[in-house]
Amino acid sequence: MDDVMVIAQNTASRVLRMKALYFLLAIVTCIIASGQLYGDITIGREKEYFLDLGFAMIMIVGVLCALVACFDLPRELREKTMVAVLSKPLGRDRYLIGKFLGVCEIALISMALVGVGLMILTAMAGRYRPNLEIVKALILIYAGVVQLTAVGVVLGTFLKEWLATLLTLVIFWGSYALGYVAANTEGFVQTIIHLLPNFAIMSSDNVVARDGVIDWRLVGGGVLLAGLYSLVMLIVAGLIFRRKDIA
Amino acid sequence: MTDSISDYIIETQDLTKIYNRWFGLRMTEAVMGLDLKIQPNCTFGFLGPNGAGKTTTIKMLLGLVRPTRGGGCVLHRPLGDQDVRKYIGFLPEEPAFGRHLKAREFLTLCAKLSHVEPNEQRQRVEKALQTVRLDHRAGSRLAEFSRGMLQRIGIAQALLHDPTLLILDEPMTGLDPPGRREIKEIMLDLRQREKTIFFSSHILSDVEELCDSVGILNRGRLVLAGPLADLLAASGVEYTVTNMPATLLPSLEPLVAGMQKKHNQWILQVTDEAHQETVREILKRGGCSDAESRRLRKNLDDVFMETIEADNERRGKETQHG
Repeated sequence: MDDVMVIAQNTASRVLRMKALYFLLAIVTCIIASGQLYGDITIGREKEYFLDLGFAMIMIVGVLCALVACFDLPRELREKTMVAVLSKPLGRDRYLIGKFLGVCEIALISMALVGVGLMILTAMAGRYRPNLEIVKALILIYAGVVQLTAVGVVLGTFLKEWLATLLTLVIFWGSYALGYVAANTEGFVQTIIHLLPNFAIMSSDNVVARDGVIDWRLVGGGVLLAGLYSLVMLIVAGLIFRRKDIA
Repeated sequence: MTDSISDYIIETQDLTKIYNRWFGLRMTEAVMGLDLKIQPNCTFGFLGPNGAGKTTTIKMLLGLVRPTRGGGCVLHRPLGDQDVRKYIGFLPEEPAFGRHLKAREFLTLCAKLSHVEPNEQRQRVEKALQTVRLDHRAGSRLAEFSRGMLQRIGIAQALLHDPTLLILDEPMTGLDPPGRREIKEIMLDLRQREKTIFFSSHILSDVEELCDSVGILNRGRLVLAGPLADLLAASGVEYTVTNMPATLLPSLEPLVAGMQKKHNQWILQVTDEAHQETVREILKRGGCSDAESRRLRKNLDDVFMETIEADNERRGKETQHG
């Protein structure tokens, strides 16, 4: 497991040294903070608006982090940095798992930072308190991001950077939209929907915004689903990557 | 020594790589039917023009590229075996490493991936940095390094775990003359420590200086392989004759490959074995019994060019007839 963690740490440290990440986090925090200024135009629903905006921004941060998985593998292949690493006694599967965990780590750190920012801004607003429901909603958003990362890893093993990124975004958008209609579909369409990652779990932030309670079972189910989906995706990625020539 | 698999550090049989592009519509034969046998403790020079398939071969040996056909063993394990890489140090052709990392961080990462014991990692990294004379730049990011410095870092990461077999793809490329000399010294030191070195290079003088055996690859096929001493072995005799009578010249001219006059000395090169005795007789009869003779030795440049040209010519003819 050590070498997996070495790859994960290296992946995370490379992204953490990118100034663009901190610029993104600063921008997102500013956008969330600006949400407090819209009290007058939200007809007394500034809390819903503020939390909705906050969760949306966190989701965007998570999705952008997940996209690192799409271009990191093809980039390493193109720049040939992968050659030196894979010539070490490191299995390709472990390399992929390391990449996946590294990107998940980045997403976790970034989302946690913005999440803490959201909590602080919520507390500063004074009219409502940060609570456990926000944490539950964040866990569910993170579960969705983990699934997207796994999709990114699969696509990154055989597509070019731009194509893998574009397709991952299309899958995210498509799955997010189709998640709402899943219950009303049947047959082939429903099968396709079930093959896609389930991002509907990311939408429980609406419940929080309306003072609702997110059931812990839903949180547990979301985490379990993300884990299983990622496992299947990583197995697929491993099968593809094992056959790939690192030329 | 018997010819069993266990005698060789590297052995390949019919190793072939054909790249298929556009669903098989475009095929590139990178390596075809390669049979290599590399003895332990040997320094093997892998030569060939650009695009001959050297890097592809190396990548197949390391399991980075899957052979289309054939196979082989490296350190008595099948190609692509993951565990065997613990005993292999590899320098890629393009020293592309994580540019965000500092030299020491990169080597520490490599030490961890090469399964160096945690309590030895620091010491090994410092030693490797000293070996390639980059200890003063240990804290600099690789992004700031020149090509030559990256090459040295590449060599450092290949040596870190004290491997049994070193596979170096163009180790001298990008190095300045002092850098080249240092790398040669490192390689000579490794040779003395009975490591097996497999390296590809375009710099034939370096290969000639460092290698015990060479293999020449041309357009994916191994066209010549063997101990360097044999390949460069005597291919004729050179006679140095003082005060040779001019009357001997007409009878010598058809028998010698080259004649040169320096002051009062004639230098005659006889490459044809059949003519050597006749020339000696003519010189003796002409009163030049004091002629000095020495065996001629080819240089690797000549062997390389002759081999490549002959192979290209042969294949050209085959293509015409085929």
